[in-house]
Amino acid sequence: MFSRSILSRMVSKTAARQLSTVSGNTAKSANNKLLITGAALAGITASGLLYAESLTANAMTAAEHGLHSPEFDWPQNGPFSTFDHASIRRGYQVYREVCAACHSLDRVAWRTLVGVSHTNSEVKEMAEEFEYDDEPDDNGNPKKRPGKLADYIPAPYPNEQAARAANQGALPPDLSLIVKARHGGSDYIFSLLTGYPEDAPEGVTLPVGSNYNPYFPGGSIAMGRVLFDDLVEYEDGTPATTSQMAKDVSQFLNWCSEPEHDERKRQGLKAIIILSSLYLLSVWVKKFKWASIKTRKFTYTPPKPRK
Amino acid sequence: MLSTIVDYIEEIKDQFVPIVARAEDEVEETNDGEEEEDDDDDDEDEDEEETKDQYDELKEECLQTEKGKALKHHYDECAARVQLQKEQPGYDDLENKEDCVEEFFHLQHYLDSCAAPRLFNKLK
Repeated sequence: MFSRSILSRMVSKTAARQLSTVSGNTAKSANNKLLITGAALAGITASGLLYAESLTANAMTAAEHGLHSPEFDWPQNGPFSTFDHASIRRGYQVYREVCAACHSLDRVAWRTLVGVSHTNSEVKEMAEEFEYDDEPDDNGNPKKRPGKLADYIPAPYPNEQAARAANQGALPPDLSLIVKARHGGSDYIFSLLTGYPEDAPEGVTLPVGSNYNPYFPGGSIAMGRVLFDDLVEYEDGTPATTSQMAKDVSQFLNWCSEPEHDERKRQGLKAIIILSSLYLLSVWVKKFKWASIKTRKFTYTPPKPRK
Repeated sequence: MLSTIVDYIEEIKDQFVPIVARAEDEVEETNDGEEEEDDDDDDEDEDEEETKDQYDELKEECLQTEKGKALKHHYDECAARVQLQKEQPGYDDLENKEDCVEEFFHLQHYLDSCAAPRLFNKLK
């Protein structure tokens, strides 16, 4: 009687346990199904949205990249070629008479022009035309003095805010390193300056106060066309066509970005000559150093077998 | 999403619909006429001034080559098409407006690659 009741209790317990595990399994699988359907739904909606977006997306158009500038035959292109310094001199004139109205040249000092494009006395005169802050006088009042060779070329605006205010919110970039700072370098600068079409391509709408230039990424640039034929009068009598001025000012700005260019090529040539001659010398010396080793002879004389 | 797909299909359809193509020819002719007149005016002006930009001269030469003419024709065709679209009602509300930047780039790229290698021989 006692043993039977225990048995029956045991049976009922195991049955109950089995039941509970079965119900746990069904709950788990229902959870899994929910998860899978959820993930699938999310995936389908995400891909659907992406597809819908792709129908209207216009990122990475040709206009956004800007037209690539062609490669021009610059005087400094060859491995041993230098800048055309007459062109740098004309380019400075173009910068001074045209670009300097808006663009600064903060990192170029007057002294660096000496011996590059102008003589010492010429640069001194050019610097003296501008006023710089001097030490205050005995009463602490600010004073001005004429520029010296050691001064940097003055900027047209005192600060960025003033520059933006004068140009409808657009900041004219500093030109000291502009050739290094733009894809295409001098080619880009030249193309940008000469590349203003008479009309924007049909269907292009430009923001107010901007101009169309295909080389400028996006096409709409705040700077208008500035170079026109016979805008400046060159002192050496070169006809001042738009492309001539663009070439000269690109050459000048390239020199501003890489004032070490000519010297760098000279040093490179020297280094190549010296290092290659030292290398050949070392090959020659090696012959003598190794002569004894290369000409020695190993002989093996086996011991005579004992009889 | 459905509406955008429908729009897309319509866009594709628009490109093949012949109505636009028929109307193009008329506009093109008038356009060409205007441009020729403009060119003549420019030439006269510049002859008087005597100095003419070397790059512009080279580009004009390049424009007269077979390929230049073909690309200019492509651009003109596009410009005429877009102008026609502009005249139609509801243009301002269009979601996607066609422009001729690509045709313009193809033409300019050809002119550049044609004129650029010869330009610096003509400059000092």
